[in-house]
Formats: sequence, structure tokens, C-alpha cells
Amino acid sequence: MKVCIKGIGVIGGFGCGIQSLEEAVGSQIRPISEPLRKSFGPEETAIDTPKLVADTGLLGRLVPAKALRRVDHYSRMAIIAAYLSLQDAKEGADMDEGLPEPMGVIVATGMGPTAGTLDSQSPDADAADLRLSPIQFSNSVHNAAAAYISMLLKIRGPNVSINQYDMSVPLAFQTALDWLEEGRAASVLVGGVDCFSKGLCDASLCIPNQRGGKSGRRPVPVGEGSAFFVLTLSGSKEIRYPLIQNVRIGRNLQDIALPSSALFIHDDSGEEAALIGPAIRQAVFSQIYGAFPSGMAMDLAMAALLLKKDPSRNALLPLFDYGLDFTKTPRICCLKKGVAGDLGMIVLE
Amino acid sequence: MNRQKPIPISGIGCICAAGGSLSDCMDSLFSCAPVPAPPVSCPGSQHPVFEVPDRFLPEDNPVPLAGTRAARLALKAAEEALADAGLNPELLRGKKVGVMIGTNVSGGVSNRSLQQQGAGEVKETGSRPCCPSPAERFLAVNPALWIARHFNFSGPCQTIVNACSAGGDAIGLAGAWIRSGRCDMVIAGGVDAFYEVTYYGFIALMNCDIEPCKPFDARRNGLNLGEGAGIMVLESDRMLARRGKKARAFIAGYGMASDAYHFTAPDPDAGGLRLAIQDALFSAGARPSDIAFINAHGTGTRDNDRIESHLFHDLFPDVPFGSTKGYTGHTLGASGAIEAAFTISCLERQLAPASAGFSESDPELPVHPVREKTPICGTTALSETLAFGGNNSVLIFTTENRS
Repeated sequence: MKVCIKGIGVIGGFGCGIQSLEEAVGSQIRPISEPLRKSFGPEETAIDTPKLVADTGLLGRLVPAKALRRVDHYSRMAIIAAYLSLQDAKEGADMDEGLPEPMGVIVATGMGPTAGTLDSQSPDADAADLRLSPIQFSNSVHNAAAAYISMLLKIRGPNVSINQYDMSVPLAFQTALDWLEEGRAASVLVGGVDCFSKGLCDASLCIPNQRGGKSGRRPVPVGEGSAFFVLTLSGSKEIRYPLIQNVRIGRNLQDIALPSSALFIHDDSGEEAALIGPAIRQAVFSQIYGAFPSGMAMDLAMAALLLKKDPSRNALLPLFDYGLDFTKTPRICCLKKGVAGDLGMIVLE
Repeated sequence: MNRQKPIPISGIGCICAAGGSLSDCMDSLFSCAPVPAPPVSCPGSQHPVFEVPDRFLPEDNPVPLAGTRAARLALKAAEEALADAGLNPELLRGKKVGVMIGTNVSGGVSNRSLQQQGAGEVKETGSRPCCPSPAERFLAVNPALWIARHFNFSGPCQTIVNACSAGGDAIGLAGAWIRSGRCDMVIAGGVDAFYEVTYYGFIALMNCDIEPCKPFDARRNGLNLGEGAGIMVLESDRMLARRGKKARAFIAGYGMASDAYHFTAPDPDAGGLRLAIQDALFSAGARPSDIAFINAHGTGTRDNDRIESHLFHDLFPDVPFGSTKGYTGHTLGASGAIEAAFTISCLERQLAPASAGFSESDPELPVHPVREKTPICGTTALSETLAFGGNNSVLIFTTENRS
């Protein structure tokens, strides 16, 4: 079974939309830097936290303001990415008949709406201090983003939210492929979202390679954002983006069987570079969107943009030599080694 | 939606206020309901909840890293399910065993308990907390990972956070892991522990009854929160045959759909629930007349019970139904899994319990739940859950081997 990507929508510190993401590759993104106090630990000092945060102002032009008055920043990012991916899909030449129904929604999140959950709950608080307003409480539920997408975009198909920290994105894509194969959905809107929060900072800054690591490289700023994709079964007349060849999840390299000829995209937070080995071509783009647990969705957007079926309209290829041979079938693997030791890989061709 | 191959269920475990095991729970369902009480951890509170008595849990804490109540509930139910399936570590060695667990708050919000644990350790010892990084602390409250780590399973691990339908969805979605051959077995279900934020949140939404809940009753005035876990062992036909075991029951069908209507209120026309039921019936290759019993979501809130009653009247006018929330409270992300376990057990006994809390028929409702123990005439039953955000999850179980 081959699954094609019909549309892509992204939002992050680089801006909104795939054009902003493409433009960001060739430019210097400057993270905002501010001191943040670590939540706990022996060294409770203020530390400098470079961050890349998203501006969701675009949403006011996409959705009536009244519909947004209860929606928090976390869900706003997901709605924008979902909306833009559907818009991108509809711009495809073969979309006269619309996207096949029913459409499913799958949201992968590493930490959920942490700005409204972890950040608002001091470990020293008494039970009575944990009273959230009805709106705060509703937004704290982890399927909030998926629910708003369903409500605002009127999508009545299956709807699931997956929360497995940095493995959430490959699991979400695996679920999407299952749905298409079972006929549970004829198209799937699948993506990842995480929002900047103190909790996310704590998590990100503890990963050595994101702080600069042993190699002394430039630290990866803490990021936030969302990337969504519209998937359908292959068979369309025109395919602008690559096919999803497969999704592999496992505990070791034997489980996922790394291909020997491919470009690998990863964030190296799990020391993926060493895992793949120096002989294989690799690319890291996380300086553009920052580090966050569902950031693999951004890696996947980069992979899909690099493998656009019309290389002449590809804004990324002239910037660097990625070693992609378009005379054959180029392949990109997005790889993630999770904090718990699991491996997830999404292969595009 | 394609017709789906039934998925064998070889073991079931359950813990909630009604009992520390599935058989204890069923005994409660057929004898007397536990009485909810205000939570001890919320002084001055009046809204009663169904908490799991500590005596139902093992005294030793098997999860020193996490130490959360939800972890202990999930592991207790998982151990019962594995024992019920006749499985032990020796039999599981080398097998591809996945874990898919649904939860409402345990995946992230209850991280506060770990923050408290970490902060306490820092105060006492001046050293770093037991979980070295916040990312690991976050994962330490991930219920699928607790189970996978505790039993050293090697398959995929996934936590579903679909609010109150999460447990049912985890069981339904896990079927794909067996059908695809990705796993030999999947430990699937749901868990949620009582949590103050959720308690106050539901009170703020004015969804809680100050008395024991009364699902489908004319005087119903909201839900009581509960806690617990329901876990099932799903197993491939090949594995079962190799072990010479028979399935207890089968997942015959599964459907999920969204209301796309409102964040906290169900669609008054039950649009999403209707779609989910249609998908579940179609995937099972079943007709409404094949359904012998329905385990309703039946929270005791005005809107939820009304739309369910009207939809049952439309689709299943003569099928007996009931709610078990009067025995367990609303266990949120665990409810779909706990009630799936009850549904299968009722099919096995060919008997449904009285719908606790129901005594006075609501004239606005076209059909009413069973008032007393009721014989089930058939081998197929349906269990459904509704959730925040408009999620609807429907599972169809059968005790008949159709493969």
C-alpha cells in the first residue's frame, strides 16, 4: 500500500506555511532569548533560553473570531497547520472532486497543552489551588487540538490524539496508514503539535545535543509549532509530493532496517547521527523550527518539500547538495530515537 | 469502512470502586453498588466520587520510578489480564507484544505528582530527583510505557488521549496491530486515577451531581467521578492456536466518529454517535437486530443520557441497555475499557445488571434502561463511550467464534 501526501501545512518560529519554511532554510532564523528559571533541580538558577515561538495571528483571517475566543495558543497552532494543509491539498490539480470522505484526524503531541497544564500547577500548590476555570480546564484536555480541528473544519470522521512524547509522530503516521488500509478513513489529516512552555524548556534543555552537546555545536533553540499533512491512498492523477513508503517503529536497528541509500533527516537529539553512521548522508533542520517532542513532523515537512515531484519548482534543492538523485527514485528517511530508547522512521519516496 | 476480521480477547483484568478484579466487580454489579463519598484529598468538597479502596491495590509499589496511583491501577489490571490469558514471562519471551492504553489525565496532567516527588527529593537530599530529566519524568507517567517497561515487552507502545473515550478507542485501535501482523499480542485498555484538577474542572463545568449519580433517571443531575483500569489481552489466532487456548470473546467491530459540534456538549442529534455505531456494525458485519445488549455511556448528565436514549430508540428500539456508572462513577479514560470488560462478562453470564441509580422514568426519554438483572438473549453486545471534544467510540463484542 502506498500513501500519498496531498497537502502540507506548517507553523513555527519561522512563520506560517510551506513557503515560509522554504524561505527559512536559506536565511538565518534568530531565536528570541530570555532567562527562564528551571522548574526544579539542584541548580535552581535562571538560564538563558533561546526560543522560536509561533505567531498565530493568521488564524483570525481564517476562522471567525467568535469561534476562537476559547481556543488557546496550542490548539491555534494545530488549527492553522491543519487548515493550511487542507488549503494546500485543494490547490492540487486533481482536487476537483474534493478530498475523499470520510476524513480522519490524528494529532500527535509530545507533551500536550503544557502551558495550561504543567506550567499552571505548582508542585507546592494545595488541592484547592488547582481549580481551573471551565475554559482553562477544557483546554487542558489533551485532545483539545483535535477537537477544535474537527469542530472548526467540520470533520466528522474518526479522531484520535496520541501522546507518546517523541514517538508520537511516527505512531500517528502508522495509525493513519492503518486507517487508510482498513477503510476507516479515505483521507487523513495527520500532524504534530507542541507549544512552548516552561515544562517543554525543562525537557528540551536536558537533552545534551540540544544544548550544544559534546561536539560543541550551536545549541538548538527550544521551539514550538505544528505540521499537518493530508494523506490519501495513492492513485491520483497528479502527485506533487512524495509517497509515504512505510512507517517503522522498533526497539533496535534490526526492527526498523535502515535503508543504505537514502538521505536521513533527524534532529540528532537522540544521537541519531552516530546511529546512522558517517557514511550515509544526513541533514538536520531543527535550527529552523527549534526542538520540541513532535518536531519530527517538521522534519517530515522538510523531507516532503525536498522530494517535490517537480524539481524545477523546488526552492530547497539549489541551496545545498543533499545527494538526491532525481534520475532514479530518491528516498528520504525521517528518523527519531526517542528518550525511552524506541526508534521511529518514516520513509518517503 | 471495510469488514474487519474479529480479534480474539484471551484475558481481561479490571479494577475500580466496584472491585479489585473483574469477578469482584461483577459480583458488585449483581449484588450492591458501592456508595460514593467526597474525596479525602479535597477538604470541604461535597461532590462524591467513586475512589478505589486502597485494600484493592497490592501493598508493594511495583513502579518506584513513577509511583503514581494510575500506574498501580494499570499494572494491577494488566497482571490480572495476563494471568487470565494464561500467560507468564516465559511464554511471552520473544513475542512481539504491543501496549496501547487510553487515558484522560495520566499522560501528562498528573505529572504534577512527579514534580512533587522531584521537589520533595530536592528539599530532603539536595540532590537531583530520581528521574534524571524532565522528559523521562514525563514518560514515567505514560501508562503504556509503564506496562511495557514493567513486563519488558518489545512491541510498539502508544498512549491514546481521547479524553473519556480513550480506553475504548485504545482497544478498538489495537485490533489493527494484530490484523497487520505487527504484534502477536497487544495489551490494550484504559486507566485513570482520581485527580484534583479534573475533579474541580468537572465541578466548574457544573457536570457533577452532589448525590450518587442517576443515569437516565428523571432526577439525574450529573455524574460522579471514579477511577480505575480495564485491560485486555488481544491475541492473534495463530498465537492462540499455538498455545492451545480459546478466546474469551472477540472484538467483532469498532467505530469512531466525531460530532464536530461543541467542545463539551454532545451533538443533540447524536450525529457522531450514529456514525460510529454504523461503522462498528458494518465492520462487524452485524445488523442492529444482532445486538443483544447495550452498555450505554450513561453518565447521568441531562444531555448525554437524552441523546443516547433517543438514538437507541431509533436504532435499537427493543434492545435492553444499561449504564454501570452508578457502580463505578465516570472513570474517564478508563471507562470505555472497564465497561468493555463488563460487557463481555455480561455476555458470558447471559445476564445484565440493573442500571444503578435509575428508578424514575424520564418522560422526555423514549426508552429506558433495565431496572433489574435482565437476561441477555444473544452472543453479541455493544459498548459505547462519548467524550469531550465530541469523540464517539463504539465497540461490538461477541462470544461466538466467527473466524
